[in-house]
Amino acid sequence: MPDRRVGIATVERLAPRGMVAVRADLSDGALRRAVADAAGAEVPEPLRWTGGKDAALAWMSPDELLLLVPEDRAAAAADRLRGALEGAHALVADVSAMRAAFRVSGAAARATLAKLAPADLSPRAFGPDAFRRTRLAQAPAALRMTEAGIEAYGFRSHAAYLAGILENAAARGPVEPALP
Amino acid sequence: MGLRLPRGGRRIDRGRTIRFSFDGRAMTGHPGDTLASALMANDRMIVGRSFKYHRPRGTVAFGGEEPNALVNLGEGARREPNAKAPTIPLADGLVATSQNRWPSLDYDVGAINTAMARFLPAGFYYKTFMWPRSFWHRVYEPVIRHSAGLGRAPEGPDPDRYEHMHAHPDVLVAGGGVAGLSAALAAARAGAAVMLADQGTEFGGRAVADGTAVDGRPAPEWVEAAVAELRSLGAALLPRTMVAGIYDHGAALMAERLEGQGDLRERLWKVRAAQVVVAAGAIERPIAFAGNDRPGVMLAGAVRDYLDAQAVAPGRRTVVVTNNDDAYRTALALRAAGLEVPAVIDARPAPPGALVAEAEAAGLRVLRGRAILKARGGRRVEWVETCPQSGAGGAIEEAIPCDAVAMSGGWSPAVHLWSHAGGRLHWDEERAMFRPDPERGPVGHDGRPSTLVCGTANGHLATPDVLGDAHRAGAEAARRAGATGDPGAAPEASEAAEGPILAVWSMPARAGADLQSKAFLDFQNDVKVSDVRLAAREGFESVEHAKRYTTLGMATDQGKLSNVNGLAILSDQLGQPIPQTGTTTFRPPYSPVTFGAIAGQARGALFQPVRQTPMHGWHEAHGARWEPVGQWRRPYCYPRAGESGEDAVIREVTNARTRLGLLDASTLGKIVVKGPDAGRFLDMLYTNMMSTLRPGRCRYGLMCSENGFLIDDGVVARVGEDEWLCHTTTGGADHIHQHMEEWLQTEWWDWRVWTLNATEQWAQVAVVGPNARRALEALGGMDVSKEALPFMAWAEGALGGIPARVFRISFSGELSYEVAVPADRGLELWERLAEVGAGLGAMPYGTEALHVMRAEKGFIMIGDETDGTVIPQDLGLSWAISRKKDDYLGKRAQERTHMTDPGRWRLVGLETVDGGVLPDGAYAALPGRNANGQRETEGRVTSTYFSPTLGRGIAMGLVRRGPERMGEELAFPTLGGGEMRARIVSPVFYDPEGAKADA
Repeated sequence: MPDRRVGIATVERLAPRGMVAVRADLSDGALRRAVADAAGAEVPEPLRWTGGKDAALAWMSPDELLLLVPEDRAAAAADRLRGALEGAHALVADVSAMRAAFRVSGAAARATLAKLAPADLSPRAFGPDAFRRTRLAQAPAALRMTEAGIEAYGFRSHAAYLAGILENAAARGPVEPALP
Repeated sequence: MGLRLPRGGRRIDRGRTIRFSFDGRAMTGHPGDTLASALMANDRMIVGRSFKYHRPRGTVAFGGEEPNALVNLGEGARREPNAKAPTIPLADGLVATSQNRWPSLDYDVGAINTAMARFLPAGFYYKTFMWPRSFWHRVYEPVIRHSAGLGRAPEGPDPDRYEHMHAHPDVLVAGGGVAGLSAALAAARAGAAVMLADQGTEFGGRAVADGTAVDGRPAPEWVEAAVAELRSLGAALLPRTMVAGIYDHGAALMAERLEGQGDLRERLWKVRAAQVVVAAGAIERPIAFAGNDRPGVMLAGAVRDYLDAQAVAPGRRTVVVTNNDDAYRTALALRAAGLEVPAVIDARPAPPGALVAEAEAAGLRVLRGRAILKARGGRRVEWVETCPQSGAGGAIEEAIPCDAVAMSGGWSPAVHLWSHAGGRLHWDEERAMFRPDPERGPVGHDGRPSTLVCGTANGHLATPDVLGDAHRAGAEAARRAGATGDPGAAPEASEAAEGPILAVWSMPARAGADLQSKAFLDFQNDVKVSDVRLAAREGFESVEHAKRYTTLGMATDQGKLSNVNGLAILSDQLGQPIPQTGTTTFRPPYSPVTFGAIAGQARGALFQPVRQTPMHGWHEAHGARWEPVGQWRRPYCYPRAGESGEDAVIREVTNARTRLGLLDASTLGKIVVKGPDAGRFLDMLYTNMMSTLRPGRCRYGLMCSENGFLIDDGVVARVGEDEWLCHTTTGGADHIHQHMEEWLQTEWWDWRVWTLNATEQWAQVAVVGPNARRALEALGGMDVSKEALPFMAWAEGALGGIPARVFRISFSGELSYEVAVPADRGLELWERLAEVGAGLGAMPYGTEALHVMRAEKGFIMIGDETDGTVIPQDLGLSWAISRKKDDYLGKRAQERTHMTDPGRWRLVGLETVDGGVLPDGAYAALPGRNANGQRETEGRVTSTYFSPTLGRGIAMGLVRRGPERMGEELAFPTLGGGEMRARIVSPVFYDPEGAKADA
């Protein structure tokens, strides 16, 4: 999908990125520390993400995190996490090939995604470090707020569908008045 | 005589003229008109025909409660049936046609039903068309349907677009009159995020038409200021947006009609508000007098609204008939506009209010304690006859010529939205209305109130009360939603007190049968006072029964005008107080929502997600014929030029059996299970033992539900000391993962096990056939020899430089490897295999060849051999049920007597006597019939194919005591009366020793 401006927001497919799934008991302080040190980002609070470009840690559920790293560093990051969690009850998996990522940007990015997602995407509920799993129309997805726009992660097999619904949602508008 | 006045019309732009057509006649109007007002200005008083009697009908109301003026709006693919003329903004080039008439609106053949009305009472259809019973379907219903029905469906696909939108305000205000605005202001000032929706094109509601002053300013000015302040506070204001329903936990559905957004026509809002404030106003009630449905008879408030908004009137001489003070406002407004009001007929013997005095001071003639005996005329009202309200009618006192009647039977709070979410009502005797009971309102997930109601919707009729009530509700909603700011002061208004209403359900009070049968309650469905009384006499005493028997309130307007009048008549007939009768249930939507809006974006290519494997594009480019498997699309077969699908399947099977086949198996579920208790967990999930599997080895496993029935199967590979990989069926990936999580999160919450659905991480290719090993060797990088990688072993490494897991498993019976690589390298692997396989006879094969090959081997398929009632023991899979384990899911259920009954239908192979192919799903029949009169049966076909390998039809089936009956012949009746015979054989048709897979 070419990077293009369509209607009220820009929708682009993002280059592949490294992703590592971690399942562990996040209420265990020592374990949290170990994960944070190995991941290079603090363990986020529920519905948030931490870190930055080189390593971002996103909250998936009370016992699951997703580490986002540059594509070529995923295997090493997974190894580092596995090493740090050696002996603990945890599951670490390189899932870099599992998802397709998009970015929706522009002033109407929230409204574009609000056409598809039942989650509250108002600035009050979906701030600068927000990350949450929801759905986009009929496909599961996770949304992440960044400075450049809202990133949407879906499963790889849904990539064509997600591109279609995102472009369709961005094609028409604007939504007046703006969402409260 | 409908007319436009020379002056006035707050909403219209007289400087511009726009053209439209109604029933093919060209007419003109102004921007700001609705179709209803423009038709009135063009003196087009008959706008539709009623549903049952085809009586001529005109516009009655000003808004969405309109029962009569329904039209086909637009043409062709854009035609919208049952559009309500008062809610259609007039647009240049608008085309509308009337409904339910033939050949024309003015001369309608079906109107003969009017003359027949006394023979078409309530329940007529039920009584008349009962016999003979078989005639209902074939004769009566088609004829009745042909003559019934309102409007015409659009022709062709909808060219417009629709979308959904989700919003999460703190406070949603339903209704944008002065009450809604006041509530929204209080909430927004307090700091709540507010959303306000109104079904009309502008805010302000009735107060604007009534010339009410708010905070010392004329209502329009106050409304403008309120809207500006709300915008500045960040509130979302949505005109043309109907709140269709309010549900539990502050969920609401709203339909927005769009203008000027290209082909985007409607937007469906799904709102979840912390608090909802219902400010939906009130709906005026008609009065049930004889002839009250004649064109020209309108609601008094509506007459006033048309005068104010578009400066149109239904006539030059308007009689006002009322039981309350509010209609006097209409009389005064008509007089002020220079129109005649020959009389105000007031059912009350001595109305005391200030408005009555004002009317008399203005020179209006007020007839006290009087009623309309009949409204007379032909295709419109021409005169009314009066009589005392207290009697039964009798002699005509006076005949008053007029060309319009403005009626008011009082106001009913629009309690629909309040009621949708579970709010209760109580009957206010003094005000003659059902009003919300604030003590019994809807509650949210926490048991706390989730919805408030205010203004006229809450039963307040005087503006000062309305404003105060609304402000209080808005402030309370904001507070409950967590806002802590100052809601400010309530707007103020002053108004002289009104005199009390007199409940008038029938006019005159003791109207006889003749009058009752001409006094309409439900205009759209032609339900009269006499019909409701008849229903009660015939024993339909519950309001819900009477509704269905008479069809009162069952038309597209859902009885917005008729509801209270109808149940009051029912109560009177039953001799019981109104609250004892109660109301029918208010259900969403408030007004109909279009299918287009409900479907939203889900149309065409975006109707449903289609899941694609990493090799999808390759399959498409190579002519794959697709099979939907869940949301996936899998290649069914790859027909070559000139080749039929059947031919392709035969070629693909033969090639895989003799040379090399490639199957895209990426859709198979792959769930990682890891942890100190993972082995124990899998031993509970599967019928066989998984904890004893050695790392590097695979085992086929079965999963059952608690009830013992087989739900999924697949190969489990042990990855490490505490880690397993479970393959599931394509359709099972998601729900088996959920099944695992459910057990882990509810029953076995203290077991230390993590699961991860990694299905999409891996692309998987089955490399199948005698040349399979050579193909992998050609890729290189891993030792795939029999010694290094025997049957049911797996290994991890790199094939041709691609990181891979190679599983030596076979679903075809051939030498076979399933190769999993990261999904982003799936296409690369596939293309490399096709390349190195070229010299080895490689061909892709699809799901049908997969099915044929597994059936030749007697392998079961979840969904074919299982249907939710089949246990593994039925399928000859007892070998896969561990006897060493104390327990597994389904074990106890499988020990029930019914499950161990030797008479159960069990899996066998079926070989047709003539070599033909049995029909799928065919039953093996026995002589005789069962208790239901059905043919006795003893088995059924679960899978059936033409086997290219054996050159004949093969099948599997479940047969009573099947495995004990080898060699017996069964009879399978076929469609069309024939019969096929098949012999019971072993289900393993091909390579029973398994030598090939083990090669």
